[in-house]
Amino acid sequence: MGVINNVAHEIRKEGVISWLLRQLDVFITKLTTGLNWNDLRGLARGDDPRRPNPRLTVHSESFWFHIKPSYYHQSVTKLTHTFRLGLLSTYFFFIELVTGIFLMIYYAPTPQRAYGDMLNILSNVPFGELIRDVHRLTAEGMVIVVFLHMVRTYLTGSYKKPRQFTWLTGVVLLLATLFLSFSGYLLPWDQLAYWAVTIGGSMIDKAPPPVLGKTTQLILLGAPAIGPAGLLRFYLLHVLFVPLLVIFVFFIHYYKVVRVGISLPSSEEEVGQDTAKRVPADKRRYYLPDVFTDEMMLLLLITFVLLALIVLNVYPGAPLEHHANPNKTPLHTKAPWYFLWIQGLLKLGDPTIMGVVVPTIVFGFLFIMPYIDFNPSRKAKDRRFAITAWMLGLSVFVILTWMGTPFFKVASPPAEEVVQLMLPEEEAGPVRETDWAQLQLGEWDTRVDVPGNAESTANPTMQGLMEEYAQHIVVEDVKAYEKGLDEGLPNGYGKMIIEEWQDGLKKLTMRVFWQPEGSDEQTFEKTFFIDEESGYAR
Amino acid sequence: MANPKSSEAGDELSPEQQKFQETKEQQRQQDAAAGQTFQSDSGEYLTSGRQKKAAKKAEKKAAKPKGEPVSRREFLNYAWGAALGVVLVEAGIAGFLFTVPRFKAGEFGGLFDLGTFSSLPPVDGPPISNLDGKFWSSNDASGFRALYRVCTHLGCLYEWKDQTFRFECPCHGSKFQKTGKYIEGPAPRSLDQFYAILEQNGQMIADITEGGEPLPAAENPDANVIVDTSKILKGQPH
Repeated sequence: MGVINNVAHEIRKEGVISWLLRQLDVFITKLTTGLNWNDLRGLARGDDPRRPNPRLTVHSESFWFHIKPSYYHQSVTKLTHTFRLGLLSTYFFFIELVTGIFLMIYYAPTPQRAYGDMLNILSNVPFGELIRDVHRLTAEGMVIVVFLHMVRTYLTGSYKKPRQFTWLTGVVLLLATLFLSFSGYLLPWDQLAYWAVTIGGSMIDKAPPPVLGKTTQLILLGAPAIGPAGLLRFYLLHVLFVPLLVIFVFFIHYYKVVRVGISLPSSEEEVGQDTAKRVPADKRRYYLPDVFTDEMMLLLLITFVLLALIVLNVYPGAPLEHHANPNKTPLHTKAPWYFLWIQGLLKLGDPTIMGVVVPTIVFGFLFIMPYIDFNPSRKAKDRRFAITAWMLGLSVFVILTWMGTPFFKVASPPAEEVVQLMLPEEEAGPVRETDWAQLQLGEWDTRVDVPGNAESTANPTMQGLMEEYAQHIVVEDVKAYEKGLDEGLPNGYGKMIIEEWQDGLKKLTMRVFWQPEGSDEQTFEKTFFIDEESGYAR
Repeated sequence: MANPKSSEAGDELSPEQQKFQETKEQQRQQDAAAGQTFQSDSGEYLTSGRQKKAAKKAEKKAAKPKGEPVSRREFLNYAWGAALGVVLVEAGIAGFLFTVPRFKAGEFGGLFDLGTFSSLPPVDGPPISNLDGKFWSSNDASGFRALYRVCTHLGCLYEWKDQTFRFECPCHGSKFQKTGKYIEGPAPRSLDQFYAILEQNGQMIADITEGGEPLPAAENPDANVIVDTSKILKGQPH
């Protein structure tokens, strides 16, 4: 009764509305662990806090804010010092968690269901395609952001004492990111997935000694080759085991970052000094509200950019190829782009050395690098060797990546290459990306149906395609000649025959003709079917 | 807190004015006893109700922290905060629409096309069970119904008994006619049924509403019976 009397007295004294407003303010103060309505408004206005500073209470009382330091040195909060790449990696991981859980609603990891579930998500579930595209684009973005984060750390020498262990946990997170991306590759159970992971699995098989490789591969795939067991195991690694590992290691990593502080620009410190934790009062930039606002703004902007890339079709969408076929490897099977450098290495020699030993040495070097770098200076002028080595490493990486693409050393016969360039066995290619209605019925010839030829009855789109076709024939002929192959495409030309095969289905016959000196004309032919609803041209 | 003006000019007051001042003073003392003092800006005591009200309002206004105008930074912070809110709301809506399941024709929760009158169970024969759709196709002289297989009592599956020519629940013994009408037992209402329509050439001819008539399938032998298992019509309580 006492309580009720008190409340009634208060209400009588100050009026119902102001009493309610005061209660709301008390509630807000509890919710924000210390900030009342006026304090919140002061945050938005950028006013100085009242004394004692309630913003610091938030950092000691709130779980989420206690993870963040209450202030930074103003030099490290400039965007160009860290580019906030660590925050971005974390945010991307968070997006992956959320979109991943949503995708799991409509996905079952069995060969019977996986591919059909993908089709269902793409064509039937509201926002299904968008969520899958966000998941895929963010996954690739996360690989880039994590890579750039490490490049920044390397170039500013921030891995040096006392931050060696932070770097080491960062390498673990890099490997986990790569594995998460790669294990997600298999789940759609399409040709792309099946064969990329087959190659990855075979590489593990090559790890020395043979017993170790064989056993590891068996544990990972659950069978000598990828099948239902492998899909389930990759799924569990992808959705549970590795994400848990990432969360675990992330907290170690971030604890170290906060504990030691973000390294200052090397120009502001003497060599060998580390003053990150001793921030003079006039150099402090408080997390609330300045840094917090910066971070949220950046995340909002990045979200907007990610969505714009997808909605405006700059990002063509997560691919889904044909259903996995264990009996047919598609022409020019490619690793995901961030593993092309390993594919490049594999073309150079023994798979054990190139596929296992060299990558192990590369990542092993990354692990121990901070512990074997005895140069105390973080200034670029004292680190000529380190920076030159990095530039060389990057060049090798880029060259190996190019060597991983089909352009290097996987040449098929020139005529087959031409057709593959126009209509690849997997992925879209220029013909499929053409508007279906513009694929004009008839027999088209690269010698006739080119832009500007009055004799041609082809529409402009077809003429454009035929011009591209003709160029590929010339280029492949020259390439074959340069490589010294016997069979180029002398006097080469191509035909494309388009027939209406069924309602909404067109049959395309690609024929390439060439005639070497003193022999009969030769032909290469391949047929394709393109459905009106295939969705390649958007 | 006497009014300096009136005290200075006190000697020159007329008797009426003096009386007025006295009344005012009385009023003031009364107010003070009640814990309230009313003064105008110039310090004069206010007596009339309207004056008091106005003063109270002014006092409130002054007590409020001076409403500083919204600064540019504050406005921008609110603007992007609102943008963030919009993004979250949109993500929530998309997530909701993504999560709500949708059902294909032929799976429980979706539509079931039972075909025309000739493929329905005979008017005087036993009903036919549709396992996928979880309903009994029940056809008699009054028309067609799709009875939900679940007893209205506690969720057991009732069965058709040919000997007694009725539905009987094995759990607590509720009994229902072929039309789903309650006969006896603990069930609180007649059997539930699914919404169904008669469709011919893409046009709806008839449908079943809650407590309404069954589908006149016999009168329209060329129309298709389509059962919508997403909509349950409750049976009549007895």
